[in-house]
Amino acid sequence: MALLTLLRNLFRRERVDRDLDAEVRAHLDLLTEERLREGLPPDQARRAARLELGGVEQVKEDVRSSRSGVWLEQFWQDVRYGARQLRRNPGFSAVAIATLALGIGANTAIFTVVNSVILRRLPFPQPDQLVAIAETDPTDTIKNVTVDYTTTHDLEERSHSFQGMSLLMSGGGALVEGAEPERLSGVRVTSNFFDTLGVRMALGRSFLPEEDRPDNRHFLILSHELWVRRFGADPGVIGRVIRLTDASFTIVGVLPAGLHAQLFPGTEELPEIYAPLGYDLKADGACRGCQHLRLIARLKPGVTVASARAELVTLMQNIVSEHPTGYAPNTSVRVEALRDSVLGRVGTALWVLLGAAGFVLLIACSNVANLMIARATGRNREMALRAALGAGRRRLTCQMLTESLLLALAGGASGVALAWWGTRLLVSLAPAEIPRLDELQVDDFVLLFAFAASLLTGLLSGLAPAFRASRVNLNDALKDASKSTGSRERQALRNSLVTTQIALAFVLAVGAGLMARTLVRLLDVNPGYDPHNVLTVGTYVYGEHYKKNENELAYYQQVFSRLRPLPGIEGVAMVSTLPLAGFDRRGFHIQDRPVANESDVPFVDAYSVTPDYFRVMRIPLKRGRVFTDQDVATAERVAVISDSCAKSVFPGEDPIGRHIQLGGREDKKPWITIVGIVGDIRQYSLDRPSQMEAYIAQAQDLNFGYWLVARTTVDPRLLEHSVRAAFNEVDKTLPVYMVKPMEDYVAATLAERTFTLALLSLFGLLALALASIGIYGVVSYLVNERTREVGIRMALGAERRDILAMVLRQGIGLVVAGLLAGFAASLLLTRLLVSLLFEVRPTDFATSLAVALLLTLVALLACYVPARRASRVDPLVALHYE
Amino acid sequence: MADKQTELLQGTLDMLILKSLGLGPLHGLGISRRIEQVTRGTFHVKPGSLFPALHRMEEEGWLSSHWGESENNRRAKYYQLTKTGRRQLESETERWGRISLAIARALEAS
Repeated sequence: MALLTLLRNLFRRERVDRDLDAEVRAHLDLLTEERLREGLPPDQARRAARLELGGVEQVKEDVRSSRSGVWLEQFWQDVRYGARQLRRNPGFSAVAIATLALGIGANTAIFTVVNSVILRRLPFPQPDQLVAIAETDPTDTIKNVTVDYTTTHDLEERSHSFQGMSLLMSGGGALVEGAEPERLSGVRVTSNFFDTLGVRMALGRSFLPEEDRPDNRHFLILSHELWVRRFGADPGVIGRVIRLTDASFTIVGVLPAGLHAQLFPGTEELPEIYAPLGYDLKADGACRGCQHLRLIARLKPGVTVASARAELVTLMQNIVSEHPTGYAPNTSVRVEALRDSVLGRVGTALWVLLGAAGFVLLIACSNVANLMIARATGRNREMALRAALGAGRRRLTCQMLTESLLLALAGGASGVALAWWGTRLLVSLAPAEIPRLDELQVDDFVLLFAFAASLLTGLLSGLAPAFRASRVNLNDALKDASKSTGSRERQALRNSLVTTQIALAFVLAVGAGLMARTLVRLLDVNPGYDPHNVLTVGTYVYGEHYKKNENELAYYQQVFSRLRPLPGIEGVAMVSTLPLAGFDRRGFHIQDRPVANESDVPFVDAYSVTPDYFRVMRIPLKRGRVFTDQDVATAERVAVISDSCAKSVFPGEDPIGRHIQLGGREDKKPWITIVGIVGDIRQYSLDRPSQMEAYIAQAQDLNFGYWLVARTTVDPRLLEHSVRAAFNEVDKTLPVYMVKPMEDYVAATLAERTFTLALLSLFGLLALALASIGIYGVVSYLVNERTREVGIRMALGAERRDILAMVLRQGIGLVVAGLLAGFAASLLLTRLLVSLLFEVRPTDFATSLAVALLLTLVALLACYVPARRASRVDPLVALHYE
Repeated sequence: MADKQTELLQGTLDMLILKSLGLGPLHGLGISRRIEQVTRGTFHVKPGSLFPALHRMEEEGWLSSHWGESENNRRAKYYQLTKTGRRQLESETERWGRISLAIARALEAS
């Protein structure tokens, strides 16, 4: 029955309406008749009846709005009416839709990145349970990301907060069989690693505990991508034995596709092979406090990161007090969500950008709201007419809201298209550390976000105008009193919207300004070497032949001799650790300076280099000498230290001639003599000062793995092929990898700032443009409203100059209010940028001032156009205006 | 016409309309006048409230309507109670009795 009525109401509306009309009219007739019977003359009877009825149309409307399905019906009416309205004003609609499309598009684009990078970054079940744990040594902050094996063992045994803890360290290998040799990036993990993450193998199985022993650890799990690329997706690969570097490994499992577990912050490579850690407690560097492993853990259900942290900090205190010589004093432990640890600054940058995009959307909303309020003024009569015909306030509000929702949805649809294009732009700008950005896609979740953003936008931009419109004063509006009473109030609303816009634009522009200053500062930083025109190449040796040091050195020498005569190459050298790529921290022991506690030994970044390294990298010699070809294995062992190392370890002394030892206390390295001092370099990033460096000669102390650095006279990229060929000509079984210009490393360390700056600037510009449109709109509206006044003033002798000043004054008032509000907001908000800033305070006054000037200038320009129009007003025309 | 208007309690209008139709079909004005009459002019139901209520109650299935002739041979829409309408009237009357009793007690209590 109810459904039938509903259907009848919806589909036989005309008949139902005719019936209703007849009924109400009959009622009126009956009333009139009643009055006539009471003895009133006919015209008075009719009048009295009408008064009692209260308006045929209104009664009908009351009945209609009490019917079932009325919502649907009215909504549909509103939609059609709204669409007609928007079509009738194509200019207004286009501007509003474009504005909203920009706002929603920016948000959707950024959200697409946030969605795939932050929300989807850890593709594991219950990713919030995963944490990263590190020992913290207050004297050497570099190492605050790693742990040592023994401490981990103690922590695991004593703690109750975790379902599982797993150690991991990077450990790739050269795959030689089959096609050309290829270096695979890989990870060595404890056997429970995949259980901790909650990953099941697509093929085969995970590692067994007995496969995680120093004497039995040659097993492999392949990434899905490697399995497809090198093994043709052969399911029979399980159990196969392959040669990796210089050992045989048995393949036990293949990971599921699309598992891009990026667990090492700051590396762009995704691991392709996993092998058991098989940790050897007898090996060098297995001591307490010898941190070189990463630790991840899964919290038990219900345990928070904070409570796990509290537990581990207490446990660590106990462990340190039980083994006082094993740790630096005040060694503690850091526990943070794995997500934060992996994302680091990239996460901050993305959240900041999402916030910034939100600001752009707010500005867009207030612009559209302003447009709608302006238009509502023109629609006063329409609204009044509808109200007179029985439309209630709710009905009018709904109508206006429907219109703004229609606009917002149209804007949202265009915004999604814009975002689809925009994410492609983001991919080309984004830091390489954001992995798999190329797989970004506008998925259901993103679409849902865009839809929600559109609805919110519709509400935000429509609420104020809808509220205003529903309060029309029937009398004034129908009489077309040009100064409707709401005018002043309405103007106040528009003014406050524009003030908000300017404030938001100010905050965005200040953010962009701060990032720009940071980048300028960073580009000014002298890293201590010259990264321009340097090609870098990674290589290492393995196998029986290279067990002899002479053979390894000979391999390097032969590569050198092939490279040196190449046109475009100025010099070649080798280093064990490339600046901005990894580190090799070693203890710095000084002969005749015994320390009470092993952990009091200072740490330096150690490099094994060929004699030409300093010349090729243009690291200046400060005193003494650098290495020469005479510093061979049989000669006296020598070292070169950095300026900062000389100053802080040998204050007021001459370090040259002193004997030192580099390495852990159990390494039993020989004493070496300092022969020279060179300039400092920045190993970790451009924003981190030197952490002290020491160099040893390659011929005297061979490291595992080297980087070739070649100084070129041309674009280093042009030489990639010939350099690779030179290596392969000498020994084509050895891996050659990461052939790229040194400048790529520099760019990578700047990437998240460049990315943030580029987008913040874009958003800032958008905000500026939208805000100036807003100012322009409000000021021109004001000018229109005051045309008659201007005319009178001019007729009374006011100069054009005076009129111009009068209008501009009004505009300036808005700008100043907006700037003050924006300044206050920026004091609060720019703090969020702190981790991205470098040598710039978040409350940098100069930046604020510059931005304020820029905004004022733009705003004045936006005011000037309507102001000039006002000053050109012909008094005669103006007085006839309206 | 007495302009003494007492605000109708929420839900009472329905009950008064049902009650007024208890003796037979009436048109809108008839219902209105009947309510005025039986409440001695305490309640004056305006068309703006009456018609929406009538249409709603018809949708609920409490009333049915048909076009008929008034006393003076005018066409008018007549409403009459359905079976459900009668049941509704009974339950509303019963409910009202309980409420008014309860309120009376509450007001008498010291």
